[in-house]
Amino acid sequence: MKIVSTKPRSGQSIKSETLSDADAAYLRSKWCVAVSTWNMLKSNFGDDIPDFIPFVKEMHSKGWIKNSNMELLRVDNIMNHYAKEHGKGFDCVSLQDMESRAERYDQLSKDLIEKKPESITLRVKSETDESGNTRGHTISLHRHPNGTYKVVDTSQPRINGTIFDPANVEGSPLGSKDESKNPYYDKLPKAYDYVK
Amino acid sequence: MLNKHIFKKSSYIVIFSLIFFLNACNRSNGIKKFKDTSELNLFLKSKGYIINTYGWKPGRKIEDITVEKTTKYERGDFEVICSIPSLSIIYFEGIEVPILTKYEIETCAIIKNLKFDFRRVKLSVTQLCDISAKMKNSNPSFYFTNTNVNDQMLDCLSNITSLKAIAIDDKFDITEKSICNLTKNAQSITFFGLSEVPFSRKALDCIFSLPKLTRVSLQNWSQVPEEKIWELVHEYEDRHGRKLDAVIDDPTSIDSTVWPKNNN
Repeated sequence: MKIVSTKPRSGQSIKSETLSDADAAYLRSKWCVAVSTWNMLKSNFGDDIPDFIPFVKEMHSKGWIKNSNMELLRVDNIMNHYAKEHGKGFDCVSLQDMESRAERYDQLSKDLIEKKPESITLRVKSETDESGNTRGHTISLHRHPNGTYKVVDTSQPRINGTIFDPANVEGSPLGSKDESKNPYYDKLPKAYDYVK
Repeated sequence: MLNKHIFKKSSYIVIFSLIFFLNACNRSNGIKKFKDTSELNLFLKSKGYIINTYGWKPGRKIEDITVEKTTKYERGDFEVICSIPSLSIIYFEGIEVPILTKYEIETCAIIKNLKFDFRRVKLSVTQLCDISAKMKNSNPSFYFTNTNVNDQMLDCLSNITSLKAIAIDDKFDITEKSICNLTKNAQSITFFGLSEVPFSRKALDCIFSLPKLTRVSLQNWSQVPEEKIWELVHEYEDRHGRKLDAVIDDPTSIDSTVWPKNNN
């Protein structure tokens, strides 16, 4: 039996016309894709990226955010829009063809160690349940000078601010499948985006 | 006289061998001994058990073991596994959970604070009830994600008066009544997780009647709004004069997208 909650999800109740700075905290807690994408761009391009609300409004005016439910339609366009200005591009890497958590996190770690991206957005996703549903969430990871990454997830205090160490995945909360350490214990990494 | 003596002696041998043989049928040829963790790792790895989620690394203790599709379980394996003093979690993933022997369950029952984590598995009622009966005096935790947990199983778990934690997520066939029966009996519970359920306020009252709670995870209750659950958390904190670590909101959403959209 699967009960689908009726509460607003991922910005579904948000309308861009009425957006104000006062909504920022609420948005940050509910709208993971936009927040994580903005966080990643911010950590790559700093002050060249507008504050969150102006950023959302700009993306909306370009038609990259769906009017009816505020879904981010074209993450690729949004990323390229800012990356191109700096002579950079964007890449989206799928981890889905690997079956296990270990294989996926091993691949991600290898990429983080080799490519050293300043930050990434990471999509995590559950296995398909009885009714064919899967649940997903997007968070961002930000590089420290020592090569470890800070996990940013403003909607989930238990994982927000923890360290993801590509050289020690098993010791990193995000890599753990123990519920007491990782709120995404049953969700596998699905794909990640980064500026290259 | 001499012949008689030899006969007597050999009959002893026969009896001893018989006893040994009978024993061996039940208890797997004694517990296998290993020189060190590295050798133990090789043994478990060869049978398809996954150690510490990412594989064992030299210098590390064995903390968790995963039993999954490719694992070739043999009777007695858990006498070895549950003799690892540093073991804290056993995961069963995507399989029909093997029926453990009486000796295996007894060995596992000795471990303090052992967590059984069942994910997308099929579990027999008898099996879980056998485990519960043997673990009455240890402090186990039971986690069920997408697993066929039902009222009968919860009733068995409620016999463990030192039960440390329980979490049920996603697939279930349980009623509010068995939740309340569990909380009435297993007052030792410190973590209660119950998500994606159509239960009423009554089940929450039962959960918050547990005197030793330190953490709860109560997401996506279709009949009770999040604000109400938060209210109950705060009431609990006031009543007990201490903080309760609570996860109520669910930041995840139904993922129907093909992602990445432009995979290259």
